[in-house]
Amino acid sequence: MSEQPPAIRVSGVTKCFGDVTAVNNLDLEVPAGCLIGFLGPNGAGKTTTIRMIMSIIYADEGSVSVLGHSALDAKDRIGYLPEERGLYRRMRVRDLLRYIGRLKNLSRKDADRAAAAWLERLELPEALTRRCEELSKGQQQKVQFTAAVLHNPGLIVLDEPFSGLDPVNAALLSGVIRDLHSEGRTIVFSTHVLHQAELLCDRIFLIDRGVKLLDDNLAAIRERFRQRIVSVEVDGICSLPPIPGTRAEHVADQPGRIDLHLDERCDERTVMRATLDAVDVQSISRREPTLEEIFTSLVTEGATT
Amino acid sequence: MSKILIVAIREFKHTVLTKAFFLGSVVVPVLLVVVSIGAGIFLKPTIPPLQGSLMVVGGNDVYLNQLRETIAPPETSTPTLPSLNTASADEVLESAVAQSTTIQANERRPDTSKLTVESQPESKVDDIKKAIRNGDAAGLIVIDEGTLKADAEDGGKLSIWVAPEAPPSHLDLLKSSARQSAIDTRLLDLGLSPDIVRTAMDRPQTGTIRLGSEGGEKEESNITRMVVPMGFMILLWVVTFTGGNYLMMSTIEEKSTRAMEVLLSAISPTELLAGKILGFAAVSAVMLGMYVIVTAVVITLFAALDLVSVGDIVFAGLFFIFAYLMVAAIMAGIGSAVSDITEAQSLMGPAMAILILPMLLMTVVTEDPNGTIAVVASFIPPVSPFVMVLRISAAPEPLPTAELILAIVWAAASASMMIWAAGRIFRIGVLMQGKPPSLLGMVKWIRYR
Repeated sequence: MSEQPPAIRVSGVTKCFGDVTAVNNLDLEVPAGCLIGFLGPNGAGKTTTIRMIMSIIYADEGSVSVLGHSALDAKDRIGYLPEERGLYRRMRVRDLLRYIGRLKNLSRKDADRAAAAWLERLELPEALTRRCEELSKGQQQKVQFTAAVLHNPGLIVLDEPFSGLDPVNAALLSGVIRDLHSEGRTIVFSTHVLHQAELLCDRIFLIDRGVKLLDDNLAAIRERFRQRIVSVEVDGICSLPPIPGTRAEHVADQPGRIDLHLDERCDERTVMRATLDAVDVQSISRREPTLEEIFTSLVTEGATT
Repeated sequence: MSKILIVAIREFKHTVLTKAFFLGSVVVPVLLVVVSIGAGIFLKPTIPPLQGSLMVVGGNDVYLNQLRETIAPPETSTPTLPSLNTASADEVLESAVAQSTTIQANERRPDTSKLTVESQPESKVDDIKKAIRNGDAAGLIVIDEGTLKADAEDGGKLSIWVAPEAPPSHLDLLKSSARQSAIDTRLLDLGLSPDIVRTAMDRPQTGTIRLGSEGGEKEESNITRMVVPMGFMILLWVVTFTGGNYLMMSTIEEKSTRAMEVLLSAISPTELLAGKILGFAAVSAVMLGMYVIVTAVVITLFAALDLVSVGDIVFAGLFFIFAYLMVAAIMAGIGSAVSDITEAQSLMGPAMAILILPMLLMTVVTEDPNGTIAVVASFIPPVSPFVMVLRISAAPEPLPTAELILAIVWAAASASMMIWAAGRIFRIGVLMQGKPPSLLGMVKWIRYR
């Protein structure tokens, strides 16, 4: 049995705008059926890479293949939700979705049917006959999402999909994304909200200044950046005396919260006991580094090297 | 259906099937025509009659008789149009203008059926002035000594007094009648009949026949030589510029609402630009069609169909395509480079300076369709299609076939080059946000991979 080709293969891609190198010799392989988080700070080259995957712009060097074809040939099999909402203000939602559907090679009838079904699923059926400018920011985001998935694409690229959504609708959309993933679609998901990526994605791709910093499964990343941390919450005015085998770090914006990073040879229970003996503790627990911490440390390291 | 066609249909429908287009391109022109005609029919000025006694001081009997004759209500007769079958378009138009002028003059002439002309001695001038103020007299004409003589020094002098509330039409009639009567009196004094002199003074009509360089001859018409070519070119300019402007506005809207990125995820920039150009070409064609229908109705009413030849229309249609493509390329380039209409204005300045050139060259080219300026301008895009339309319709003889073919090929090549360059700018520009580029920056975009 032949192995399924990757949904996206980016090989040695470089893209410059004048003197600025937005993406530098980037390699990326997204397995089919994967839900990958595409992360990076502002200006990292995420949008440029996504635009090359979408064949909106083209690489100066290297190649991009999508769903086993050239990026241009696969255009109709990709769904794309851009970061900024792009709707014709005065157009009715039905007309807009029909137009996008037709551009994605759907018949008029199929586009209308899919638009109605998707808006129903996103709990926005009444929007169909309204003009885009009459919708709220969150409703526009749902319409934009519908435009991205209307044509039943095999690959879905979502750039900040939760932008403008309240927690209830964010949870609704989160569920829809999970459903699409479980149906076997490949989803590339770009976000600044790292805990959302942590909750949804099974693979993370991190770039900074056009260069790849990280590309692995979430579990493997956790293992690779595994750190033993004892998180302590003490009375705000109380200071923690030094505990052998640990490095204390006060958590920013959380007075009284201290993370104790343990040496390899240090025993967690010994540290916890020593802490409890030393100060009045409100809470104490073990934890692993969050994706945000890994992200911050990698980007900060990258910036200093 | 091809994606280009889908884009073209959307652009066409969302432009033509809107209230703004209907108002701007159908209702307003129709309304202007209706209002102009309606105003002519219903808003006739109310001219009060000139009645009572018109006093004349210093006039002799001959002058008084001439004045009575001149100022009396005219016999209502209007010039008739020459037979449409025998007269040329020029003659028909000139007669129509003369008819219209006579009708207008008669409409502005006050009724003088109750006006009498009386001779008065100079001693009564003050009393007459009082009577005029009180409304007891229609006016006073004082003729200086010697004015009625054929050898009057400096033409003599006539002074006219009217009531404070006298309308300009009364004053106009009194002035013209007093003057005319003075001239007629002088002619009679010389033993000449004023009617015969007037007839003798009528300017003869002139017919100009241009000889063809290779035999044959063609009657020259000022209308076909000047008005028709200019009309053709202005029509072409308005239609292509409007279509190009719609294209620019649509591109700016898609950029500012960020719909562009969604579109480009489904269609290539080249396809999108092609769809837009096609869609707005159809919009321009609709406008052109409407104006052509209106023009056809007007020239049919004037029985002046011979003003335009089928060849002129075919070439105008062909050069309309090239003109539209060139203007569309400029507008698409500007639309894609800017983020809003305010930014567009800074780039529209240089573009307008180029696009206005056909208007500036209109008289020069029409006057000398085969002159150096006209020939050179025929090969400078985007001016060339406009100039060619002018030249083809204004030239007394058909342009040399080789020159015509060369101009068509050159216009097609120029339009293709401009569309290609616009496509390169469009591809980069539609994804750019922030400060718009300079003209030099846009040229650099053309070279980007």
